[in-house]
Amino acid sequence: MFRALRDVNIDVPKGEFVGVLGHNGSGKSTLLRTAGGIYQPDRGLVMIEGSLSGLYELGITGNRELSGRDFARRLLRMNGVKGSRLDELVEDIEDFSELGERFNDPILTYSAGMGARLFFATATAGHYDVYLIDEVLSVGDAHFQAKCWRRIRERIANGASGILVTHDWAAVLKICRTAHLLDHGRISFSGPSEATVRRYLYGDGAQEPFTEGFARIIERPTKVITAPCGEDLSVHMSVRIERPANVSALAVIERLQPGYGWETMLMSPEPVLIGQEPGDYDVAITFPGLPLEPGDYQINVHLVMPDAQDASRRAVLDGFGWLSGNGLPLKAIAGRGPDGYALPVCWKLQMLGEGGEA
Amino acid sequence: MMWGLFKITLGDRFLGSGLGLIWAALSPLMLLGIFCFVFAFVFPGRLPGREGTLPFILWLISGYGPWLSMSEGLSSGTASVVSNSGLIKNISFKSELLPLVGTAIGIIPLLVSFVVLATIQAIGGVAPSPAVLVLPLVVILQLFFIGGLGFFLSALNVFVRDTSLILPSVLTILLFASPIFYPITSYPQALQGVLSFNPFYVLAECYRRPIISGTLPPIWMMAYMGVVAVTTFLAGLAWFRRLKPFFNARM
Repeated sequence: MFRALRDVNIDVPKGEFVGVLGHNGSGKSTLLRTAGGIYQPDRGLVMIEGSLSGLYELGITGNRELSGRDFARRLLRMNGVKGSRLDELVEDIEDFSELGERFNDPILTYSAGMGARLFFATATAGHYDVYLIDEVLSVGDAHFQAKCWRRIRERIANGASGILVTHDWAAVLKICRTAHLLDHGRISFSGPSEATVRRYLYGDGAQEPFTEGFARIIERPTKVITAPCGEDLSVHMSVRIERPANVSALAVIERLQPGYGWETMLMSPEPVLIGQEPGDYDVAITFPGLPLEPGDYQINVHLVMPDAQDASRRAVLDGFGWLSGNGLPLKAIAGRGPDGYALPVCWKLQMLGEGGEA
Repeated sequence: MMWGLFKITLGDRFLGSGLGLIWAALSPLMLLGIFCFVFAFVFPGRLPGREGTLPFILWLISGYGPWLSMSEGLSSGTASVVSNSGLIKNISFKSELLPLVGTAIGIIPLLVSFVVLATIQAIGGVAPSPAVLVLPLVVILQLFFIGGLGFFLSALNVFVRDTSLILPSVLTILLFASPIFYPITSYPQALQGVLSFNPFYVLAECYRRPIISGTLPPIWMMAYMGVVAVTTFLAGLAWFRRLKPFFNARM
């Protein structure tokens, strides 16, 4: 007999979402439905404290002749909502789904996006203790997606917990502190979301693909850098160019905050040239008046050169970043700088010296 | 939950139609009308020992109404699991309820027939006999019996979709193999013995006796039906529970 899941143990602390990443057919959806009591496990135990809302598949199942309003009422009733609370929630759904007049039309006249909106609005109306979510957050237009995220965050802030099952790794970074990687029905990796995402994207090696033989970073800071906000920050490193090439550097500061996701905070607009001739170069990347608010960040630096075949593309030669598991952690602390900062921010990359021999 | 599902199933069937729920009463009425017309006027049926069209129609409806109820319950029971796959895959609930709800849907044609019977009797100036008080018990026997078959067929239908396709033909065969349109005495002597144990016939007869002759159904019929109904129900339930874990592989 085919075993869809085996030895899967997942704890979901209250007030947290746990992510489950995996490729198609790895057992993610089965896991979620088992957790939700739709499937009975042959062995093992599922324990859930509190009320549950399952978003196992997007879209509307059931009779498509139903109007949006009737669909919402029906789903709520099945979740045990009654009386005036029902009317209240239906109103909330009507409002949140932004279907307007169409809320009273049969679902069969809806577009896929409208159906998704109705479903999400209905399944998350009312405050459940536990949400089981499959992919769902990656649909609808950007405006509606933003609303969905806001709602999920708000629920988490109010103490809701849940499992997010997806192959959208960015979504896992956005709301999950920890995540598991599911592979052929087994958990092959568990850890902080960013580690799991890395593993999911690059496998065991967890390495980005580099074009080798031209240049590499031979020395870089490895410890956490602590820098006061509003003051200049310089990051020093050594780069060795091995073969003649137009080697430039790109630097990005990203904020990776569990529960809030992954945002690019600062980014060099254009690669800055380091050199062309073989040799060792000392490079300092300077962020004048570090324009960040206090918090934890990651500095990513990549060496690039124009691609030999296609000048509009760049070949990545070497680098470090959180995606490769070796980003440079930056801790911005409150400094003496002014509150707030103005954009655009100008920053520079400067050459400190040039190594001698080729 | 059961009541909620019942309302949903009933509502969904006629959703989007112009007359809506009226159809729930209209379709059995039309069928009753057609068969009454055919058997009272086109092929006038004969009842041993009774004359006249009205008694015949009463006799016909008192057997055909329950039959409609049973076949309706069987069809919707059989389809219940597959047609609610969306529900089964997304809501955690006892899916055993589905065939039971399907079976319960069959109550509607039964009620319609009872109303028609009562109306005809009232017109003919016949007061119903106190024996009809036994009918709720018969209804319960029917629900258990048809529910058991519903468990069996609805689970089977998940894996062998032909089940629901062949069911209408099987029901037609069953209808004519059960002495419902004609008295059991119209069958050859040799068959009568076997046919009198046909649960569909026994059930129809249990409805007919109190309504037509005002007598209680024979004790052996009730006892026999009780055993058959409970056995079918339990066996069907066991079968359903055995297959249930595999439903999602086929839906």
